[in-house]
Order: sequence, then C-alpha cells, then structure tokens
Amino acid sequence: MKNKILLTICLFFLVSSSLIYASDEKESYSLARQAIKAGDKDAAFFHFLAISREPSRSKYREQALFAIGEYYFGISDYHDAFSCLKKLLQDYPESKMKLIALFYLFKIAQIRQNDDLAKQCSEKIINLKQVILIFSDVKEYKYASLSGTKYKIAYYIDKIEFYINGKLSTQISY
Amino acid sequence: MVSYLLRFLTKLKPCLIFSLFIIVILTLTANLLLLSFKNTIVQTINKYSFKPVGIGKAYYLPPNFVILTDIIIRQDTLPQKKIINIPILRIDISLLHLVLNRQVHILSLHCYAPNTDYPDFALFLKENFTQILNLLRKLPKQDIGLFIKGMQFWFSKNNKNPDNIEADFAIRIKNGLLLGSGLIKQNIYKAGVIIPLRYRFKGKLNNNGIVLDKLELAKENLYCELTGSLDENIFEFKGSMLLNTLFNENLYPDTSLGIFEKIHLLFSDPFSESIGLLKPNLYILDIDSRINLTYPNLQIERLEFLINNNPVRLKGKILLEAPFSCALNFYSRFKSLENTRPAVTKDISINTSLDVENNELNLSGTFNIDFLGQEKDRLPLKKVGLGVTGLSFTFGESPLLKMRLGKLDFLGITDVNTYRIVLDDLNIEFSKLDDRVKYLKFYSRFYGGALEGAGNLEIKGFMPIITVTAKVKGADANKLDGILIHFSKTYGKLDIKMLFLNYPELQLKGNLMINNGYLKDFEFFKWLADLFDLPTLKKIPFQKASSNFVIDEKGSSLFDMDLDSSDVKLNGNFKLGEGDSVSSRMSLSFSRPLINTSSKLKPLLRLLHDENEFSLLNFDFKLSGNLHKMNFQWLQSDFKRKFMLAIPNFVERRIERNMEDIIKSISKE
Repeated sequence: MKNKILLTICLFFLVSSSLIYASDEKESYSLARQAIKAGDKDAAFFHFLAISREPSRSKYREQALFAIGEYYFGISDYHDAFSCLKKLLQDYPESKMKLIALFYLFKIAQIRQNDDLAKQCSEKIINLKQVILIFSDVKEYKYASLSGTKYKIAYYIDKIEFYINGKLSTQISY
Repeated sequence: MVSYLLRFLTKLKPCLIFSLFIIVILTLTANLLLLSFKNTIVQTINKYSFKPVGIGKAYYLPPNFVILTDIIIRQDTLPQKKIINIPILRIDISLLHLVLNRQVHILSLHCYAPNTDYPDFALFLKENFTQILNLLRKLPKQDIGLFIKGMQFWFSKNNKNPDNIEADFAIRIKNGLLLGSGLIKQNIYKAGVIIPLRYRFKGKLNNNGIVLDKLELAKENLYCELTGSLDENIFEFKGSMLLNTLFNENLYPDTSLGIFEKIHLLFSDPFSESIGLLKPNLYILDIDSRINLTYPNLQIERLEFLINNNPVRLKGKILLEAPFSCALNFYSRFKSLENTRPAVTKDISINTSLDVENNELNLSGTFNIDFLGQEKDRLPLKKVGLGVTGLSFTFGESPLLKMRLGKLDFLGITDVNTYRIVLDDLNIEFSKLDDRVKYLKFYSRFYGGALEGAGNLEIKGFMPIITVTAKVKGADANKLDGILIHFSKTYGKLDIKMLFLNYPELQLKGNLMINNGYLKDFEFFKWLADLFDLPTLKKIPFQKASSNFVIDEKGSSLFDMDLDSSDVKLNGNFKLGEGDSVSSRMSLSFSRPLINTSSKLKPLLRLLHDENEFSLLNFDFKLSGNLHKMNFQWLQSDFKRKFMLAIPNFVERRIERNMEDIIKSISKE
C-alpha cells in the first residue's frame, strides 16, 4: 500500500512538471510569434533562445534553432549562426529546414573563405535532392520561416538558385 | 770524459766489425739456403694450396725479413693465366722461435701493390669459396698481422680499361682479439678518385667463428655501425646506417697530400669526421638479421630494419652457384621517406623468384600495395597488385634492354570498382636516345587481339617521365569487363588508339571503336526496353560504336560518343568528375519501325497531328549531379514541343510524376 502511494506521488510530480514545462514552451512560442507580428524581432529572438535551451524532444525547438540561426546570420554574427545551424542539422537530420540551413552554412563558408567547407556544403546540397525535369525547365520549392522570411529554391539541371525574400542570394552550379 | 768515450769506441770498433761480418755471413748463408730451398718452399706451398702458386725470387733481409717477389697464383687449367699477382711480399718472422724451436714462426705478412683482373678474381672466389673458407679455418690459431697496401682490382682483363678499384687492408690478430681497418676507393682514369669507403672493425676469434664487437663503414655520404657474429654458418648482425642520398659524389682530383694534411690525417679520426659532415636524409635503424650460409645456399632467415621509421622485413633464399636462383619475400608497412609531406600508410609486399641459366634471367613474382587510407585529391585506390610470370631480360648495345613477360597481371581496386588487365606475351625493348631519355617499344597479345606501342622514358628525379602511344587491334570487347564492367555487355572487335603521359599530369586519352558488333542486356537500353515496352532494345546490333575518352586526375570523360544502329542512334558526352559528379548531354533516337513495336510509345505518337512527321523520334537529355542520384532533364526539341501541345496539362503532370518515380527507383537500385 505504502509503495502504491509513493508511486502515485512520483507520477504526479513527473506529469505536473512536464505539463509546466510544456506550457512554458508553448507560452514562449506564442510570445515569440506575437513579437514577430509586432515587428519586434529582438524580443522574438529571446523567446526562441529560451525554447532552444529546452531538451531536444521539445516540439518547437527545431523551429527555434532555425529562427535563432537566421537571426544571428541577419546581424552578421556568423560564428553563432554557424554553431546554431550545425546543431539543428545534428539534432534534426531530417529537418524540413535542412536545405536552407545548408545554404546558410554554404554562405558562411563563402564569407569566411573556407573553400573546403563550402565544397562540403555544396556537395551535400547537390546530393540532397534528385531532380527530374520532363516537361519543365525548373522545379521550385518555397518555404516561409517563423520570422516571416520567404525562401525559394529553384532547381535547374545544372544549377540551384537560392532566393531570400525574392532576391537571388546565391547559386551553386554543377 | 770525452777521451774516455773515444777510448771505449776504439775498443768497440773490432766488435762492431765482427758483428757486421757475422751478419753479412748469416745473410749470405740464409739467402743461399733460400735460393737452394726455393723450389722446396714452392712445392710445400703448392701442397697446401688449391691453386698453383709461383714465386719469382726470395731474399732474406736482416734482422727478420723474408722478401718474396713476383708471387703469382695461377689457374689450374691454364698455368700461364694469372689470378693474383703480388709484386712484393714481406714476411716478418720471429728470430726467437727460429733459434729456440727451429721453427719458422710468421709474425706478419705485408703485401705491396697486389693486383688482379676483377672478372677473374670474382670467378676465382665463386669457384673456390668453400676451399677458401676451409683454408681460413685450418690456419693455426696464433698472433699474426696481415697488411695489404694498394691492392688493385682492374675492371677489364689485361688492364685494357684503366679504371680500377684500390683497397688497403690491415688486419691484426693478438691474443684472440681481431682488429682491422682499411679503405676502398675507385680510381677513374684522368678524372680523379671517388671518395673512399673507410672501414674498421674490432672483434674476437672463437673456436667456431668471430664475434664482431663493432664494424664501422664510413664515407662522406654514409656511416654504418654493426655488431654481430659469425658462428659456423650463421651470420647475425645488428646495427644502423645513415645515408645522405642527396650528396653529389663528385670526383676528387687525385692530388698528393701536403705535409700538414698528412699530419692532420694521422691524428684525426676519419670516422667521427664523416658523421659530422654527413647530414643524412635516410636513416636505416634497428637492423636485425640472421643469415645462414651453407655454401652454395644462402638463406636470409631474418632481415628487419626501419627505413626513415618505415618497418621493412625481408626473407629469402639464394643459390650462389650455377644455375643461380633466388626467392625473396619483402614486406613493409610504408608511409613515406619524407616527414614533411602527409602520406597514407601502405602495406607493400613483394614475392619474387629469380633464376639465371645460360646467361638468361627469369623472374616471376607478385607486387602488392594495400592502401590503409586515402590520400586527399588522389585516385581513390584501395589496392594495387602486379603479377609477373616469366620475366626475362637480355642486355645489348641496341636495344639496350629486351624484356619479355610471359604474363603481366595488373589489379587495381578502388572504393567502388575492381579493375584487372592481363597482358600475355608482353615484349618491351629499350633503346637509348640520350643519357636521360630512353625509347621503348612494346607489343603483346591482348584479349584475342594485339597491343602495340612506343614511347619515351625520361629519367628526371625519383619518378621517370613516361609518354607512350599505344594501339589495340581486334580485341574481344566483352572480354574487357575487367577494365570496364560495361564491356561485358558489348560484343564485337574493339580497336583503341591511346596516349598515356604522366607529366605535367597523369592522363590517358584516346579513341575506341567497335565495328559490326552488338549490345546485349546493356543496362541503359534494358531499362528503356522495360520502360517503353521495346523488347528489341535488349539486343541492339550496330554498324559502328565509337567514342573518344580522357582519364585524368580530375575524372574520366567519354565524348563524341556515337552508336550507329538501324533502330537506335545515340550520341553525346558523359563526364564523371571529382566526388562522382556527372555532367552529360546525350541524344537518343528511335526509328519509326521500332516505335511501332512499343505498346506504350505508339499510342503517344497517335496524339500528334501528323504521326508520320518524324521518321526518327529524338530524345535529347541532360544528366547532372551525383552518379548514384543523377538529375535528368528532357531537353527541348520539335518532337517534345509538339508532344506537349498534344497532351493536356494533367496528363503532362501524371507523366512527369510517373517518370520521376521510375528514374528515382532506378537510382535507388
């Protein structure tokens, strides 16, 4: 009987703590979105930063990591942007944002003039998707991030173009 | 005091005259005795010697010297033929032994300027090796010195070639201790002297052989220190060797030394001076060996050492008499001789057997390199193997060298493929163009056809510069699957013209052509056959299939590909680059009769307004990306444009989806 009581108490604490944690994460997420809507990217960044520090099973952490990486890149903090996006690729190898994260890493490698890293990234980008063009000359994929940035990736037979908010950011030829 | 001394000398004078008289009498008597017993002495020497020995004159010189002149060791069969000529031999004898024991006890032997023709001397050593060893073993165990000054080995018979090797030996045995030193130098006529190799050793004699405490060899570009033993037939030695291979061994003018240089030489230690000047770039350390010499068999039971930190192991057997033969087994876990360049560790093993009979050298063996990693920006090789059977050499004036190989089997294994080339009856001839450049010509059987070629080999640094052109005629294409797997599905007689060069970069380029052959179950056409229900594509007879090719360090390319068949035509380029990246543009055409056999293509054609407009259906396409996940694009053409106009958009999308699924499923396979 004693054991049953002890087990019930433990379960209660576990469930309640995870509920508290989940509700915290959700709250941070909705606060971040509100901040973005209000145009306050800095405030949103701090909320995403809080989510990114949660354990990797967290529901919003993947998006938060990408949003932080994107923010760091935007303010030219390439060192933190690189480690954040690398963490995203390590923790979420099948992430939807994988291709864009790789493009950011490729851009950082170009800015830092790290040819080896640029080559590694471009190879990964090229090998990520097989493109079959039967009737069209290009295949386009679009994605909008939490912070509202619009991405477009255009696949041609011999090059990949990467657009940010409609502007050509970089291209990889092969 | 002075007058006392003068008186003493005056008294001593008769004694001195008497002593001188006695010495002269004794000298004359001894010389007369030597003169009368000269023949007996020669006979006695010949009784113990295994070769006839002749002596010119014999003198006695006080107090204890016997001088022999013009000593000649001759051949058994040809008594007039000299093997060794010793102009002067001085024998120092013990007077005490002579007086007390009435025995001639030799203290030391001094040979001055002995000379021999090297080819005769080598033959003499070879033929009498066992007798020499037995003679040395039978020698009485006593203190003795052997000094040979200015021994000359002439390179050709009768001194026709004025170049020679000159050697000095000084060996002393005292109370079982053995001490020796000397030098060997090469005299080049009118040019000078090649820096001499000095040696010295210290050891002990025992009942079964010698224990060497130290053997040192030194030259400006070499220093070697060994310790070891010779016990009955077993040689064991350990030690190290330092070499400077970059040292330019210029000839030194043979000028006589000045007085100060002679004094300096007398007091300096040339060995320690050599080490100071050496600046070695090759370190052979931790030498450990055991060699069993039971003449004529020499067995290297163990020879291990580190060469610039790369371990090497050698074992083998050598037969030192005719027919000469040897079997060697070499192994090294080799990284690099230079520490400055990063290199991959390789396991190198060589197994060879060699025999020489009737002046013909025959070699068979295998040479293997296993790469235990991959060098950056290099070919992704995992293993290289070379098997040689029945390699024989003939040397001459022109060609300089003729090589014949019964079989050459080359194996190359990369991360993804295994390549094998076998050449039967390969003949190579080397001729001299100039000192650095050699011209080579070769021909061999080649998979049912013939291979022949010619080229230049320029010695420049460690790796020679090779430029070779070659032609293959009438080879069976489907037997070449060891070179390229796709050849297994290609039938017909193959002709290839190619150029190989390894400078300024490694490159193989050329053209290949097959006339009147066929492709059977060729993967690409098999896929098309299944996709479009065109079973005839599984076997395509063609009039001509040809392509140019280039293989270099950046990748391999097929360009101007052309397949000319009545039903199918294919042309274009295909380039496989670094990291298996593909870049290709091809044009594929199907004939109208072929299309009519397809249950899938025929209905599509009916969608066109004039289905008979095209006599050939042309598909131009591009491939790109990774070889195992190639991107595909159907390029614009008249047929494509009209086909797109004929079908509604939803059919277009469906076809696109279906094609995408099919191509992706093929890539996964």
